[in-house]
Amino acid sequence: MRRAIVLAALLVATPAVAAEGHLVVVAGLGGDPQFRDLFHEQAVALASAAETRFGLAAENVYCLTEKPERDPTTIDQRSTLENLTSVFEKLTARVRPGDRVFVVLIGHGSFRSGEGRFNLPGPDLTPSGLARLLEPLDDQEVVLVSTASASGAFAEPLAGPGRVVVTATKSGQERNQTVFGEHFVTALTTQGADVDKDGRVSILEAYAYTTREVERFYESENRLQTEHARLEDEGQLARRLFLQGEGHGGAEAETASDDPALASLYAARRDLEDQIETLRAGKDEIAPESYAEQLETLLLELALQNESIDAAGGER
Amino acid sequence: MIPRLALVLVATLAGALPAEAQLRGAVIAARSGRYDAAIAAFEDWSTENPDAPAGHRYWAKTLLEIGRYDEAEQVARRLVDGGSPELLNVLGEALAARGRLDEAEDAFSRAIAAEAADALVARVNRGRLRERRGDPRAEADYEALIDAYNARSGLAAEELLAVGVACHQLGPSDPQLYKDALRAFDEAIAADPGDPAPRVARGALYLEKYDSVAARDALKTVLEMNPSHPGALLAMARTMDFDGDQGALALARRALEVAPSRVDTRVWVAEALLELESYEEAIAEAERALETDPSSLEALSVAAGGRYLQGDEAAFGALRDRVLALNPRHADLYNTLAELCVRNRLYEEAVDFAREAVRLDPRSWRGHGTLGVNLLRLGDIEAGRASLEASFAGDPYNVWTKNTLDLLDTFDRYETKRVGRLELFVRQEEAALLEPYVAQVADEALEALEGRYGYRVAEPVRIEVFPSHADFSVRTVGLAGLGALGVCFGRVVAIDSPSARPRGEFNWASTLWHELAHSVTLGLSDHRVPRWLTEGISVYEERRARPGWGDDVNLDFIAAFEREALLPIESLNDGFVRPEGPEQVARSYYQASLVVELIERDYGFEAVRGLLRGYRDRRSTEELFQSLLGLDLDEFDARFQAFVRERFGHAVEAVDVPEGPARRRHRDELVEGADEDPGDFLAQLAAGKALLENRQPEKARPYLERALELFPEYAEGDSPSWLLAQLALEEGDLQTARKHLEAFLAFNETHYDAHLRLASVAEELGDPAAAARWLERALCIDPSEAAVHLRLAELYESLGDTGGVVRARRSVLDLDPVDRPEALYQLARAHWGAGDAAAARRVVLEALELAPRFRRAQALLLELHRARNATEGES
Repeated sequence: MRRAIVLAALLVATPAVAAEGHLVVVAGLGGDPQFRDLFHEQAVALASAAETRFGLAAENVYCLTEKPERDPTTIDQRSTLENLTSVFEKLTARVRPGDRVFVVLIGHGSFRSGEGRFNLPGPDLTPSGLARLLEPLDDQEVVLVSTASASGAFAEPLAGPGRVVVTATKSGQERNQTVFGEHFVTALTTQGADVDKDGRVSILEAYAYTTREVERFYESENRLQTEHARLEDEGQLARRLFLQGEGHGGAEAETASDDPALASLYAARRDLEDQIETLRAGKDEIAPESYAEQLETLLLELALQNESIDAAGGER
Repeated sequence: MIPRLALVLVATLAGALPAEAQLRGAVIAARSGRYDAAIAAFEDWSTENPDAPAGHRYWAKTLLEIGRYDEAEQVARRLVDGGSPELLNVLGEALAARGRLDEAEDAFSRAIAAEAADALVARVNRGRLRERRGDPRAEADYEALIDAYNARSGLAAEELLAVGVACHQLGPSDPQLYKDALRAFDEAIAADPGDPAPRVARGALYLEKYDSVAARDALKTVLEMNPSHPGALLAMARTMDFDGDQGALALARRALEVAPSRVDTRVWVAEALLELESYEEAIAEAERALETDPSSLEALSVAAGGRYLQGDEAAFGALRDRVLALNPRHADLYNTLAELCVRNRLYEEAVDFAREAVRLDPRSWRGHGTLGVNLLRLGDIEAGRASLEASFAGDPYNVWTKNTLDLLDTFDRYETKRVGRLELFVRQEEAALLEPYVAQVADEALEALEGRYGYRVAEPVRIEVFPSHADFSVRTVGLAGLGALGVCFGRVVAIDSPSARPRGEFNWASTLWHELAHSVTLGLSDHRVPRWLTEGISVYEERRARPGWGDDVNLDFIAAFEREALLPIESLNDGFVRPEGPEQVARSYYQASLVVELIERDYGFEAVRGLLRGYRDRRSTEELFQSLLGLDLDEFDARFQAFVRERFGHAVEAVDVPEGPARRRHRDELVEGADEDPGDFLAQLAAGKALLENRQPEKARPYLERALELFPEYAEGDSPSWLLAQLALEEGDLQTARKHLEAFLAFNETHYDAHLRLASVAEELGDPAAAARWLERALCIDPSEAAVHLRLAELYESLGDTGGVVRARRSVLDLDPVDRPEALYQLARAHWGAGDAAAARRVVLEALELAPRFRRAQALLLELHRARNATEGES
């Protein structure tokens, strides 16, 4: 219990300036109306949710699509390479160290002359071109998601420390139209992917949800699966990166309180959660009956602790 | 083993003199199938050349080919009696064909001793004769041919053929020799390209080794040269039968027209007739074969099989004893019996006979294979696998065995689970979801069917569910490509999993019901029920189980009725076993079900049960119809015709199915046609559809309504009731939509979307019980949609059906949702709602183990905990 109090004190002392989230969502060239509509809808859904649901500051959300006139309130610009470059210039100027930058590319991809491409109106975006745009963001955690066909070609060139790269395909050779995008957007914008029930969807949870749903799609359609998603995550960041902005749920928000009583309850809860995690990690080394008994005890304590937090008017 | 030989072309009769030209003409006539002309020419030639052996040998061989054995003997004796050894071999062949085995062996031995020109042929013939008699010296004769081949070059075509036959006969002990046999046949063909014999032998060997394509090629060449060649006709009939082609039996009968005394052809025809369950006719064929050769092991075996299937134990025993007296090691007696039993669905008996075959001859790979496959059919997987492995070691060409062994290798990915009296065998990844549904349907079916028929299927009833249709097919027949959805071997049933086929192609639950009905009718009749009746009952029982299940009337049936193309009862089996086409199979299923329906309606259910018991007692169809229904088969057929007219007279009047493909017509023309003939169902439907396609629903409606009135049972995807339901839905007229959807699903068991729509309509109309019922029916088509289970859970909650909620929530979980904690939480709630606190606690802890922060689950855990404490406090 003494440890919990110390922890609480430390958390209370956390600096007030916290990291912010930024989102750049790009709907590429649709080719035909069906895809143009699809990409537009996915991009707009994501950009809207970022602001309204996840609390990202409006000025931190950039949305570029093929036809910005379809929704001028949400869409900033046409998704050309030139506009994208200019968005990144603005972004680079805004971000602070420790911020999180999410770049989501929705559209068609291709793979020619050994190089992947994300198809934009006008010149395409290549991995090397995107690497140049991301280069200034070395003090930020960057999540790049490409839902395009052949997007696997972007994975290796862009992977690195402080970065999570998610691609719809494992390589540039998987060139068929993908279904990854619609499931990934669904994962981020609904609660179905929140399997640890902390009220937020991490990038890892979204990835797991999407890969499962993609598999299910091909199984139910009785089709050979022509896309196999890929996750590059050197720093194990995907588990703790969320699209949420400040004050929109999550462990940090919950456990920070100016009220010492609440802070103490939060700390006690965190301690119980740590104990549960430790117990789960050692499951294989404990007799099943003992494991079940300890787990139930801890879970009951945790549930009671949350009741106390609720009673004290704490964050859910 | 056989060194490559220099190609030796036999310049048969080249550079001929006039007599030789005459002989050449005779040979050419024989080889082209002009047998009468050939024989006349041989006779003429013989007058001038009474002592010349080559021509007489051709003559006698020609007579042998067309089964005129006595005449062949006479021709041979002309020279043999004059002291020449050159016709001794042919004489032996004629005598052997008539079953005079001692005399034949003596003739072959004398030919060999005298070093006649065809002594090598005599050697192989003696070997075959000895083999036929179970004399182990046969092997030495065969080996001698291989030695001769290796020692000598320049063997004549007929000698090369004999070498090939020897290799073929030795094949069971060394499968590599089959390849040598083929090579020898090829060399024989090269040596004398006009001789059909090595080509026929080659084709037969290919077929024996399961390569019907190569067999067909070889035989086609012979039949192009000689369309009447009896041996080639028979081999081609076998090939067609192997491939499941139509016309095999007709082709064999053509061979009998050319050569009525050929024993091999008669035996094959008899086997085919036994498969058709025409026992008397089959036995008559076998007896005709025995008139030619009373010692034919094959004819005796098939006759024994016929008697066995008839239930005539005494006659069967006498025939079996005759075979074993002739050759005590003749394993093929039992192989034949086993295979005939399989064709007649007597799997346990097949196993017994196959065991006997391998006991008599441990190298009977055929016997090991039959034993293995049928042990699997009886559910003894490990013993079946062992037998199949033994078979494959000796016969590595057997594609059935290989496929089945490959399938068995995947069995460790299946879960075997005992649920009550059921043994469920389901692929692991599908097991959790499917097992409860399969068990529920199977239990209900068995209870209903066993109660009705008064017969209990032996335990455990094993149900195998295959997610790959190819695997189901291999499990059933050893090959991929079987059209069926399910199969019943008695107490073992195998079906396609719902995932094995695209949604909407079949209803797994009605299929399972159908197969379990077979389990009951096969058991009650001691597996003696004819195919048509067991299928008819199964389809009829499907229809009785749920509205819409089972085959229903369709355009093909109505058209066949109009064309008087429905089969009479006497030959209704042909519609299943040797159909004219795939449509006849489907039609026969439905027809048979109507026969059963008619019998129950007019004579009571006891008559149906009486039929099954009668077949068990080995009584014939004719006898049973007479005693139970008081009708002979013709009278019943007439009654059935009247029944169909009574049931579907309206459709018969309204449906005129065109013979060929319908001409594509413009919408206006279709509408005009429909207006001109308002009683024509197809015209009304076509006009309605055309107008719908043109987005003129109001104009389409009267045509569709008229079509519905004319043929309300029509339930294909373009059924008027389905189209009218959609119109009503578009207009928001839920009551009308419901009426049409219910009418549609009263005859359609596979339309998934219609089930879902009807459920939605019922729910919107405030009938959650009906909505749940229709969703449950949808699960019988495809249970893999989580959304359907979620809807069901909500419906059951609203109905207070706590058991239903648990089942639906369990299914959601079994579908492996991404959000597993949520699914577990909902299941825990369902258990709690059903009063099962222990299950609820177990499941909610599972949810919290995955997601400890899951607040709703935490709340439930606390609720359960406090409830337990309260209970303990009270007690």
